[in-house]
Amino acid sequence: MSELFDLNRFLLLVRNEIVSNYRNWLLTSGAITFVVFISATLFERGNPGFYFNWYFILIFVVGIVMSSHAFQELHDKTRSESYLLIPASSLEKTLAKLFIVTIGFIAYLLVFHTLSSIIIEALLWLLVGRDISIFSAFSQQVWFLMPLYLFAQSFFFLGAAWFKKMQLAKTTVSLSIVIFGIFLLGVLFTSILFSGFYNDAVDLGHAFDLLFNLSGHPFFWIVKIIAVVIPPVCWIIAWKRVEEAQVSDGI
Amino acid sequence: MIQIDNLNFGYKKDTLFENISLNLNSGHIYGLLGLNGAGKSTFLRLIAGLQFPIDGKINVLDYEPAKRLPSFLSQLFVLPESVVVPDVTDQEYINIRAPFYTDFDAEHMQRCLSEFEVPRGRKLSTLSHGQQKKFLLSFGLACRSKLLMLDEPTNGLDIPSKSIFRRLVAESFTDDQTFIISTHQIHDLQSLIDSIVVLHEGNVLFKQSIEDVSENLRMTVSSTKPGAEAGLLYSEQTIGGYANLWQDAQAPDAQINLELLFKAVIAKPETYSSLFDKKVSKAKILSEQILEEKISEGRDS
Repeated sequence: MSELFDLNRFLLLVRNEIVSNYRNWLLTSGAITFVVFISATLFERGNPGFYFNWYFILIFVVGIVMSSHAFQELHDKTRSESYLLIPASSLEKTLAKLFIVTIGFIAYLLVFHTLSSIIIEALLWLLVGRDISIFSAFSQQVWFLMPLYLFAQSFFFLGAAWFKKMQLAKTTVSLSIVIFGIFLLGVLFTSILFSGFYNDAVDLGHAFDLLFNLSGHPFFWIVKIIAVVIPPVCWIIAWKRVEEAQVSDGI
Repeated sequence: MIQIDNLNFGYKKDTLFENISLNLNSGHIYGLLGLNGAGKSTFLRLIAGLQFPIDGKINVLDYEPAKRLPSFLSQLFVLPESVVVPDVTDQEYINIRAPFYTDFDAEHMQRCLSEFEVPRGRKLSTLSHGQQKKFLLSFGLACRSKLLMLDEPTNGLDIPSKSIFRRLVAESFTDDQTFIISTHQIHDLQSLIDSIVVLHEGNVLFKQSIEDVSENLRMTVSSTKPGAEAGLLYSEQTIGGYANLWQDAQAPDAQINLELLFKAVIAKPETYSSLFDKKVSKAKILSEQILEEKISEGRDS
C-alpha cells in the first residue's frame, strides 16, 4: 500500500466525512428549502431564472462557506489530535476534504436543488395553481458556473487550511488586498506600457479600459492559463499546510 | 520500539525538554509521571507525531513520527486526557474508524464495551464524559496497536470502572506491544505498570522497572520520624506517622508505594540516578565475572 495515496483509505475518509456530517447537511438543506419556498411564494411570479438565481447564490455562498470551514477539525484544539491520528496520509485527508467541497458539494447541490424545486413547484401548483417551472440541472448556464466556483473556492480552501480562526473573513480580506494590489499594478503597468498612445501622460482611465477589454488579445490567454493553474496551486499549498499541522495548545 | 536522542522542544521562548535521550522497549507498560506542566502530554504528542521536535531525533517503530505515515499511524492509538467524540453513534464510529486499523478486533471491542457497561445504540455525544472515555478506551484496546498511549486514562472513570480498566488493559497487553500511561493517579495504576519514567524540569529524571525499584528500595511506616540513619533516602509525614524510603540491596520483593517514590525522586534527583547506576554496574561486573568463569572452565576442559 502506498504511503502517499491509497484509494481505499481515501474512500474511507470520504465515508468518514459523510457519516460525520450528513445530519448537519440535511438540516441545512431543510432550512434552505424553506427559505427558497418562501421566496418562491413571494417573488417567483414571471421570473424564469428564479431557480438558477438561487443555484448561483447557493453554489457560491454555501460552497465558499463550506470550503472555508473544511479544516475546522485541524484548528480545533479538542478535535485536531483525533483528526491528525487517523491512519491516512495528509494528501488523502486533503483530497477527501476537497472532494466533499467540490465534486461532492456540486453533485449534492444539483440533486438537492432539482428535488427541492420539484417539491416547491408541486406545492405552489396545489396551493395556488401556479404554472410549474423546475430547476434544470442540465442547462448550459448551470454547468458554466462550476469552473468559476472551483476557481473561487480554491482560495477559500487554502484559507481554511492556512488560517487558524475566522478563515472566511481572513481569506476575504487577504483576497481583497491581493486583488487590489494586482489591479493597481496592472493599471500602472498598462499605463506605462501604453503611455505613448495617450499624449505622453499616464492616463489611468484609458489604462483601465485596456486592462478589461482584452478578449482575443494574447494577454487574455495568459489570464486564462493562470486561472486554470491557480486552483491546483492553492490545493497543493493547502495539502502542505495539513502536512505541517501540529497540535500546539501549550503545555 | 521508541528511541529518543537529544530531543529539544519548547513553546516559543520556554524550553520544555532539553537534550532528552530515552529508550523504551516493547513488552512493557510504562507509567509516565511528572508534576503539572512537566510536559507529559507534550511528550506523548511528540512520540505520536502530533508535535515536531525543535532538535534531536525521535524514532518510533522505525518511523519518524512527524511524517505521520499511514502505516505508522495504524500501529498507534492515543487516548487524550480530554476526549472529544464526533456526532455519530457508537456503531457508526466503529464502521468509519475501525477499517483504518488492520488488526482491529471487533469481538474484543464488544467485550470491553459490555464490561464497561457503555450504553449502546446512542450518539456518542449524548454519553457522559466517563462513558465516552470508556468507549474510546475500548476502541483503543481493540485496535491491537503496537503502541498505545493513554493520557490520564482514569480521570473521569467511576470506582468500579477503574478496576475494570486495569483488568482489561492487563488482559489486552501482549509482548509485542508497548503501553505508555501518563498519570497523576498513581494509585489507580500501581498494579498495572511495570516501569516508570519520571519527567521533571525538562529531563527524564528517572527510568526504572518496578522490579529493579522493589529489589533496591524498601518502604516502612514508623510512628516517629527516623533519624539520619544509614540508607534513609526520604521520609515524609503521613496520617498516623511517617512514610520512609530506604536504600536496601537486600530488600524483600515487596510492593513499593510509587507516590512516595515519585516524591522522593523529585526531591533528590541525583541520589536516585546514581543509586540505580551502581546497581547496573554491579550487575554488569557480576555477569562479566560469570562469563570469565565460563571461559576459563572451557579452557580447562
